[in-house]
Amino acid sequence: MSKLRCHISISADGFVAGPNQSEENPLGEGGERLHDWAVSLAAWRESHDKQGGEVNASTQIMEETLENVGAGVMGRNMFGPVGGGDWGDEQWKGWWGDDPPYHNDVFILTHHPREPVEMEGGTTYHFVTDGIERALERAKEAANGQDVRLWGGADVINQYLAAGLLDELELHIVPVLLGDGARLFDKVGAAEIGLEQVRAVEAPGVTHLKYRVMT
Amino acid sequence: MSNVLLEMSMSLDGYVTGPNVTPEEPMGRGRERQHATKRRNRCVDYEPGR
Repeated sequence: MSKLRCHISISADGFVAGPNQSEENPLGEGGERLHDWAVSLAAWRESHDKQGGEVNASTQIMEETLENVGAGVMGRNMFGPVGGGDWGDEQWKGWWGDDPPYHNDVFILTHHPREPVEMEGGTTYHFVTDGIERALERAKEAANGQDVRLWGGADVINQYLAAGLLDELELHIVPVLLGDGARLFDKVGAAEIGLEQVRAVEAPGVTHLKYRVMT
Repeated sequence: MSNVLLEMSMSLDGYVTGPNVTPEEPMGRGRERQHATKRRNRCVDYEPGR
């Protein structure tokens, strides 16, 4: 059975991106610090065509996040550009260059229709304008039995949580206070969502908490 | 030199009590939800230490 999985770095005060996201600061002010633990890992560097890096308790966690993923779902704000709106000259192709680290079909939730964009390395961006359920349906078809990865950002994760469509949530909790920004769990607290703890792993500069979502 | 320490229970979404704190529900709404589904970690599942 194909699952919808989300693995995301989060500050100790509950933000997955800092305030004032911009072209220079796609993760908002201070947001880069959320990913320091990952960027230092050999496992992450390899998947982003970079050399070197560490092996530590986060390595297995990182490898697991990349396993058995057949397709992805992403919000428009995460895909960019900052500010959203219609696609203009259609030159914008995400933050991740010509060969993005996804290597499968990624379904972007947007209010603005656009033809699919095929990138190098097996990534194709599809633009879905008929809602989160349809995006998930299409991603599951594309995943062909493998899991679907929900990449973010906060708003889209909150929507999938509130709709009871997320199966697994892993938080990489980083000892950083951002004070403001994109807050996870906003407006989903009153919904009937139960979390079952799967595991907790302590690693340098981060704690990994994994939950099964029960509805 | 003595240190100032804080240790407390908190929900995953960052609350230390639920909404609507009253004399009957000093930890706010949410404790009853915990009792209804004991095996789950609810959004608010704080037990007062008294």
